[in-house]
Amino acid sequence: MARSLPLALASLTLGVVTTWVGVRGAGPLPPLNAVLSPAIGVWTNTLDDLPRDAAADLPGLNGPVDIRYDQRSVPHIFATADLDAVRALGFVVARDRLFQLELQARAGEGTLTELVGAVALPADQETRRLGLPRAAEKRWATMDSASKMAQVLRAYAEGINAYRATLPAARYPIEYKLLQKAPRVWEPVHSLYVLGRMGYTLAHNPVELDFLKAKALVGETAARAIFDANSPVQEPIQPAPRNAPREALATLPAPGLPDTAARRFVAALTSRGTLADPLEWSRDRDPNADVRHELAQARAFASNNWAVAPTRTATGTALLAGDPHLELTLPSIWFEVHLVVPGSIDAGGVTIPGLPGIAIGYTRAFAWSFTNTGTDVLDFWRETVDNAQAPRGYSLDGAVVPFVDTRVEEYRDVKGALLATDTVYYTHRGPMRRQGTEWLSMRWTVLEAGEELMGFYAGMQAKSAAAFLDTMALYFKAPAQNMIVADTAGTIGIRSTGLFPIRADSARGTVIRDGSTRANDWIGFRAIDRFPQSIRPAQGYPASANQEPIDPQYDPLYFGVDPHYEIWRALQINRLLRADSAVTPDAMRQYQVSPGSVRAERLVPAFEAAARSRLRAGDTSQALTRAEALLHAWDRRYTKDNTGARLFETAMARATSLLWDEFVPAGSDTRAVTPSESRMLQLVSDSASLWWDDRRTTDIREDRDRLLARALRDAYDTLRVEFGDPETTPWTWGRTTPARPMHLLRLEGFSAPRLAIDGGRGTLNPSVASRRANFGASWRMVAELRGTPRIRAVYPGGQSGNPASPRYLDRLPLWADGRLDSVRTPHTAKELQPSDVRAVLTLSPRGSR
Amino acid sequence: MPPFPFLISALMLQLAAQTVGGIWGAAVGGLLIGLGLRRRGAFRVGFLAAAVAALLLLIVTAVRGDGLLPFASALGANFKVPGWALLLVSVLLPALQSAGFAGGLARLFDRGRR
Repeated sequence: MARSLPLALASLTLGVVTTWVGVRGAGPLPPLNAVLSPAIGVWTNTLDDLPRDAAADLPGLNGPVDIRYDQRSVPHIFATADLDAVRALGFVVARDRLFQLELQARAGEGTLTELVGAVALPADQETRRLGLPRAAEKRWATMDSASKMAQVLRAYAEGINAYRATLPAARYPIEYKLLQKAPRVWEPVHSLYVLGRMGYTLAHNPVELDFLKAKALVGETAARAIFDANSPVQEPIQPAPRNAPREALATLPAPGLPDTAARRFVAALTSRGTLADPLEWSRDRDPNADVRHELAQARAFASNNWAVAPTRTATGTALLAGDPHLELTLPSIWFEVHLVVPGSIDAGGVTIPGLPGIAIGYTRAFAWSFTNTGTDVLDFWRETVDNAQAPRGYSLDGAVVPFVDTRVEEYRDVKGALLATDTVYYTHRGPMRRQGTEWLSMRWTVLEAGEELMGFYAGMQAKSAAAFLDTMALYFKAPAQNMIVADTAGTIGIRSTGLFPIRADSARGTVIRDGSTRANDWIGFRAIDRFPQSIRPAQGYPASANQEPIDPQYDPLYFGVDPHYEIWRALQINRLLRADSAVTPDAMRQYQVSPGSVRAERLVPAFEAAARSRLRAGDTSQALTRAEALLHAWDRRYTKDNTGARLFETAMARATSLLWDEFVPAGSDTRAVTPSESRMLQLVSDSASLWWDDRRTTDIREDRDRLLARALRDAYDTLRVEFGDPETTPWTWGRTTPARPMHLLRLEGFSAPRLAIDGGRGTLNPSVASRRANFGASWRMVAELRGTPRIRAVYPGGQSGNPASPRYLDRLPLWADGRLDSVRTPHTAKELQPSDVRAVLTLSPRGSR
Repeated sequence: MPPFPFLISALMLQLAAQTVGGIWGAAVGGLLIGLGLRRRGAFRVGFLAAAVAALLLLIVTAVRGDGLLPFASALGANFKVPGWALLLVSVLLPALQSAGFAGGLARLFDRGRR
């Protein structure tokens, strides 16, 4: 006994400790049983991927729904009632993307901390301070519960929840197991959170904050020429009556003295009173300056779309291409589906998990795609409150008026403990926040939207391209999109659709206005006939690539001046389409991944000339000599095997840094704002502009050649350290700058392998990765609008959100190679060849099975 | 060592316990093995039964599922550990739980002490 008891206790202790660690975790160790148990842990997620035959109950269905997954894992939903198709859509999306659904809804609700912990607090705070969840909740609370929209949202939720109800804990998505959470019930309002989040992604463009900071650093005149002026190169979406871009590369005014008032205002807006800190509500406001800079560089929320009239195609039919550029994640933001309800719906394409509709796709009659307008739909007002410590109202037209709403926002962690609180006030314009010693309110079209889902729903029932555009114009408010269409009758068209604010006094949205008077409020929105648009354009095609929608020569009313949207892709696609009078579907595919770069064609010669000039002037730098030779040998195309693009990109980043040193505030080493690259293009023809001078060097005044040559030499030296001697290990684009879609939680092991691809910044395929993220072509589609539309498409990743599924990455090689897959478009379940059916799912009303 | 039928019973018990018992399965299985055996050797029986059960469950998963080993590597990459290490822990952890409870309870209630 004396010997036995200690051994018994030691043995029991071993059992208790290992069980404790297994069930509760310890220190950095997660609860290992939940994660690694052979019976219920993550290993079971390798089982039963898309069973060949499956059936489930879906309460609320009016009749059975037959779902056939084709060999591309696309579910073809055959229902007998519209709302049944929506319910089934919710079910199949949840089946493959349950975790993504919750993550995206929480991102729009500002409750990510409850799923992933305190690391998400800054993101949640920004979401709630912008008023996104409030707008969604208000929209849902005021929606007529008998309206079609409410019915659609409820039906979609029923589908998701029916799937969730079938799911034992052992089959929860891997991410839930790693996070020790269970999927939550999907509420109809969650779809509105997701919609708001898309608005944030695509339409959060506070250009006035950039302009204000610029004024505080280089004075009003110079700042206005850079941050409050239209693009110097115009190749607009609404075709101008000419056959070439319009260039007005005027000389930029030299940097001036800081604008004192702006300087004081910026200092007042920051907590420490310095120009170096990011402002609340500004973009990329990570507290780490390096991260901020890198995000700004990597950001490529952009897109292409174009359509070609039958008169300019080899097939004699209208053609349409679309490729939205978003952050490339695994799983993808897109999920491909096809819905068929006889006599009502026959539409396919991609849906965003959480939104009950097809965002980009096709019907039997037409196809459509979107690009982001980048228009200015967010303005700020400087407010005066009655009591800075506990405000209850704000000054308006000589009186103090109470806030429309005051919300105390509580942020909680995964266990429900309070992490932080916030008070957000709402004026009649929108949310208001204290920033430094000032109070700023904002008005943002995204907070006034909410009927877009009805637009998607009604749009896919339209019968022609024009009817689709008109339907969308009724419902689609934000984020404003350039909607392109082509139909089987040969009609092509484009319309920038959304709320486009009209400011008082025809003002631009680039200044923060005085909030104490209603006279400074928006006075309305553009009417549909004043949207940028072109139906059956005379040139035979419309094309959009996020450029300014109308040449200001033809419509000077302000749309926006977002410097993040460069002109390069618009120039490239217009050049390709002008030169091709017999476009084929395969040519459209090739254009989408074209490695050609107008940006390189316009700016590389400046670097080369600068290097030669400095070498002639006696510069003996080996690095400069070699860099010039490398650049000269480059054909200026971003093919995966080229060896010049990496050098050009690094030189451009370095030149940008040296050129815009005037925008680095004292005491900081990071630019507060970054102008558009088209401003650099303006300066290239002005070799002695004061902008070229690096203020940090006091003994010399740099000119264009000196600065560009230095940038090139520095780039060569940097890359030599990073990638080795280019003569022995060439800096091939595919090796040095691969694409890499990341897992939604940034988990390394669940992210894609690094992929060599054709394309890069400024090309039609800007799909390369930075350390922080990978933006690029998230979906590519080419539609041939013949009798039965022929659709080809691909997106990076796969239909499944399960990293253990063979369908998680199966589309990636096709996407990386720039190829497209044939999309199946069966009218009926029987039309899908048995050999093309990968799985069948039958959904039945409860109890009918 | 306990008789072979008991070993087989312990293995079956662990298979059932781990399959239906969720995160507590192996521990409960070990507890029952310890109480059932109540003599020396229970630690080893508990360990062996749970380890073999876990291994069998993994093998079944590998045979029925898609790419267990590549998935283990991907999962391991998230934590900077090799995939095989995670698989090893998947077998060892239930084995240690089971062994601890089986050995401890068997000694506390050892038949030979009465």
